[in-house]
Amino acid sequence: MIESAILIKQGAEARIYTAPFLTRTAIIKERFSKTYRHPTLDKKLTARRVTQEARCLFKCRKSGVDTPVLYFVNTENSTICMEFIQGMIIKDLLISDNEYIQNKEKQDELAEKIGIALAKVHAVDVIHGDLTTSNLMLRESNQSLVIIDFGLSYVSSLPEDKAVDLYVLEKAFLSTHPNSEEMKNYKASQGILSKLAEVRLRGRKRSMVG
Amino acid sequence: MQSFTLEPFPTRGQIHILLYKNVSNAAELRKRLLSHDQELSYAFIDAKMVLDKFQLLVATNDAVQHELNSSLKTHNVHSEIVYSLSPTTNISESLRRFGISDSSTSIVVVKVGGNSEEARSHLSTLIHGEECDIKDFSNFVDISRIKKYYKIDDKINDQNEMLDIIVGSIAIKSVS
Ligand SMILES: Nc1ncnc2c1ncn2[C@@H]1O[C@H](COP(=O)(O)OP(=O)(O)OP(=O)(O)O)[C@@H](O)[C@H]1O
Ligand SMILES: [Mg+2]
Repeated sequence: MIESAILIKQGAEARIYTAPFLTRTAIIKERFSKTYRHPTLDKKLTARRVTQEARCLFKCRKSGVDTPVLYFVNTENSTICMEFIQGMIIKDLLISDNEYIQNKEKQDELAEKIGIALAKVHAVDVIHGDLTTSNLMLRESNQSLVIIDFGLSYVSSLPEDKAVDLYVLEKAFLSTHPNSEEMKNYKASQGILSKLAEVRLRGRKRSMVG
Repeated sequence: MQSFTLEPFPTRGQIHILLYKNVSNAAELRKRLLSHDQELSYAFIDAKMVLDKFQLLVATNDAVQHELNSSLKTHNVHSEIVYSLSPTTNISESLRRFGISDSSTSIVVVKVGGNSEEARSHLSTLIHGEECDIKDFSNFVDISRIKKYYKIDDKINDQNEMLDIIVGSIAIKSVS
């Protein structure tokens, strides 16, 4: 790890640092090993996970989604180096910013941005996999919605998978804002919408039949 | 000339970046590079393909990583910088597109390690041209060529946005 890196978050699967990186400030996401796995297998699986996260992150950025810029991938020490986003986590915004707590228009505007961003992600067949409000940010400079944490992302064109993404987002948002309409600007195909209805009924877990 | 540290690999030494214009002996330099002339331990890059120093630093960081874990795809860390700048894994194509050609007149040089002033005075004997400030990259960059080789959507015209995609393309190559 870079010597002057500062640990800012310690999660279940990864540590997040900020560090100076080639004249800029970067976020470094370091996946650590799972001690219950065989070391050789663990190294292989972790490297694969890091690679997949970096690929999904870059694929989205390249197709015009606002995500952190990818700087450096190092599978030797399981780190991804990316742009440090100066801004607010949506979860914190919805809890602590009075403007967002009280103003329905402000909430709708945010919901709209989220819908547009997710539609772009799905347009290139990336499934985010963990669309909670802690993985969404608002850039301070231009109020652009930024999608972060592609740690559970994968590529799929299945309407079912996209519907689960929508469902997770819906649940995350409805828990704080029961009347929000974040789907308004997500122009889903009929296939995705009918799958969404199914997923709503049974929850996130994939059905065992069919 | 400007010198930088690669924070992930601080022990590898400083990275020196220099820019030359009105270069008249690119063909001679290229010939010496092709014959693996040991005196030329620098990355010689066509300035047409350089948008920003950050692009160079990200590619250099990748090249140094390859060197340190013995996964160089080319002969040495300096040719690896040229290779790393390219988004494709075709080595000869990458070196042709990003390295100097016989007709190059503006050249960017990257040197890994060593003393900056020694590098500069050595380069002044190798390159027949004028050194200029590396802030002047924008005077020499060929945007349409950059867009073509990095496969950047034609709708994108903002140079910061271009740089973000360029840097990502370089970074993702090491796991592609
Ligand atoms: N690029 C970034 N810019 C600014 N802050 C970031 C960035 N990436 C992550 N963070 C901060 O770190 C937190 C955790 O990051 P992230 O969500 O990527 O990891 P995680 O949830 O621990 O990982 P995983 O879900 O894979 O276990 C984010 O909620 C955010 O506060
Ligand atoms: Mg997260």
